[in-house]
Amino acid sequence: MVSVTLDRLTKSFSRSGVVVDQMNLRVEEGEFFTLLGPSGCGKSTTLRMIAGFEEPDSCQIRFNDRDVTYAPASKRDVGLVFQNYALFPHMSVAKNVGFGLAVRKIRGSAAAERIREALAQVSLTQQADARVDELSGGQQQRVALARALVYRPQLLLLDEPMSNLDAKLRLDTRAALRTLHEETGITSIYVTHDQAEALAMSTRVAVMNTAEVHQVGTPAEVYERPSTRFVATFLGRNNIYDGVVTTVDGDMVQVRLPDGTTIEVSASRTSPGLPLAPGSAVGASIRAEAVHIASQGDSQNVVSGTVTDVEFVGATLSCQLETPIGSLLLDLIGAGIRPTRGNRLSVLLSSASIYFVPVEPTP
Amino acid sequence: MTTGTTTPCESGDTMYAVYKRPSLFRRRFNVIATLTVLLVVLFWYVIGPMIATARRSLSTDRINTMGVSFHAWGEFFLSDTQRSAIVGSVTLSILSVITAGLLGTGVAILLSRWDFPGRRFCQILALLPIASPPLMGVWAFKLLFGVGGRIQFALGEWFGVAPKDFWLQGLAGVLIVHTMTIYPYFYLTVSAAMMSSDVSLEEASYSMGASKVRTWLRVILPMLTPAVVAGALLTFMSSMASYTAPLLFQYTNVMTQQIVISKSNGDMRLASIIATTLAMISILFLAVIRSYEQRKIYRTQSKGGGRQRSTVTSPLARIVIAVIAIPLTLFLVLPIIMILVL
Repeated sequence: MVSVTLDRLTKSFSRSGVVVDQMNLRVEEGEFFTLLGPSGCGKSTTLRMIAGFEEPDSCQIRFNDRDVTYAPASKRDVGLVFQNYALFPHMSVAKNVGFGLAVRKIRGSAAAERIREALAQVSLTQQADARVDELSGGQQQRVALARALVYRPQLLLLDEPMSNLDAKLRLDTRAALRTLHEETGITSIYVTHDQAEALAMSTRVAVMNTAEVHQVGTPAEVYERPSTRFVATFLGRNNIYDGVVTTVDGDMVQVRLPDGTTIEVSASRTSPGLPLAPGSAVGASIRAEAVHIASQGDSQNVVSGTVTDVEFVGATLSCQLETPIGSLLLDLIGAGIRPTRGNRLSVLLSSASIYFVPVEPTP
Repeated sequence: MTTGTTTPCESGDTMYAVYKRPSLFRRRFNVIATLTVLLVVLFWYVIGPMIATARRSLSTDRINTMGVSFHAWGEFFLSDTQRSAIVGSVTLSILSVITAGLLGTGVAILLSRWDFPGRRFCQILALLPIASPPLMGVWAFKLLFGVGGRIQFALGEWFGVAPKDFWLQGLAGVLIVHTMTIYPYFYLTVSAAMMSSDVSLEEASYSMGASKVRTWLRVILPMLTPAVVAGALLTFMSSMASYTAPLLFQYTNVMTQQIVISKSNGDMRLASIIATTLAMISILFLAVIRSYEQRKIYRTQSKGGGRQRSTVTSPLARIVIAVIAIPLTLFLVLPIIMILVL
């Protein structure tokens, strides 16, 4: 297994400009590392540079201490799983899986044994002789996975492997992929725009936007302690209100919002490097699921508003409120009440649930 | 033919018409009409003449159609000339498939895989020979490559060889006409396959450690087989039916020439026998290819995310490919230019 180091990785295309800008990343041995970001943020290009299909403008890519920046794709010993599976349609399932073995001069019974093992790992033993186009999308993706793992590469790269699967299959494949990673311990780099996948599977996540890495951390870190405003808005459903710090009293920070409402926030809940002195501008973010209906006794951090939209989405009831501090999203989970449009609600923005993020840079 | 507004039905104050389910004839009218036209045309122009020809081949008389006898068929298969013509036609067609296949596939790969200045122009030019008029086209070939051919004179001057040693006659002449007029069938099918081929398959091959050579042999070329087979079918059938090329290059050892010779000898029955045999060989070939196609159709796997083909960007490589592709394309349309010049 290898660690992967990207040192000031930069790539630009003549048509779309800079797609990856001065990116530094280190993926540790055996990690399941995810590049998460909206489409066009440069995550796939980064993966393709690691795989050897794009040449970076400048930088160094290292597998352990070996510099592979200009090594051809065929010499990097990686397994690659594509969004569109990229199975060879003129070969049977077993032939597809055996392709990488044949390249490595592993033939005959040794190869057959390895192919059987790999197909068993993805529970496709029955389909070994089937034609590729006889399989369902989920099965094809598992063949692609078996094909990429059978020759035991030192690094597994996955480029949005689940985006063509339906929701249910995606959950199954997600679990299968996680198990497979635990069993093999192979260093894996996973590219996705789906935050649920990223959070559920990764050891660490790098959140990217417009050619830059915004934050690298464990799923819990990036979700609970977003270091930039983009990360806060991209992951989950978040409410962000810009305001000005009025007083800092020990752990308690008072923030005045533009409409005059003052809310209290715990000082420990802030992004590193964000100044919290009286007069500094901050964004107070609170997740939709952290907003609760206010109880009788609450007075601090309570806002009232009118329900403008209600969406029943199964596990939760997603509501939108129009309040003095602005529009507010809240997710009610199993709460006894079923608000309807036009109801008035008082909600509590608990000081322990609010997190400071930088204010929106003024253009 | 009314679909029927029979009993008006009252609903509140509004009157609604009640519609019955249309009759089967009405529901299937489009299918029935199309099928009728198709069958009439097919029977009149294709099946009818074929049946008439087959019927005449069984006649007891050389000129008129009467009685039934297999006697003439027996003579046909015993005749050395006729047997040789069958072998000649099939051999010529197979050779044409091979040469046109190599040229067409090569040109298709060259023009669809790499980008170079003038590529679009070449792609259009490469299709032109398909529009080459039969008689004029072959005549142009004869002037270019045949006895006293201009190509050989030009080459002779450049390389100092005697032109008469390289004049293309008989089979070689017919073959070059076939190759250079029929290759667009391969060119069309193969370049369509190249254009729609999925780059990620190549990338998958490289990522698994395969070299360029292995990727070409095991991934790219096998993916082209259905296109090549389709091209082979068209090439084989049109070579079998080719008439003017053997005529102008005086190559009589093919079935089409024998049909005309028998006809001018007044043996309509023999002409019918040869024609029937020729049709049967073509149909047999079609059936074989069809059964192959049934078994091996590569449906496109990719959903979404198909990547744009990477094109050659290094200026030197672009020039090198242009230097190969442009003269080759011009050479291919030379007979067309010849017709225009004449």
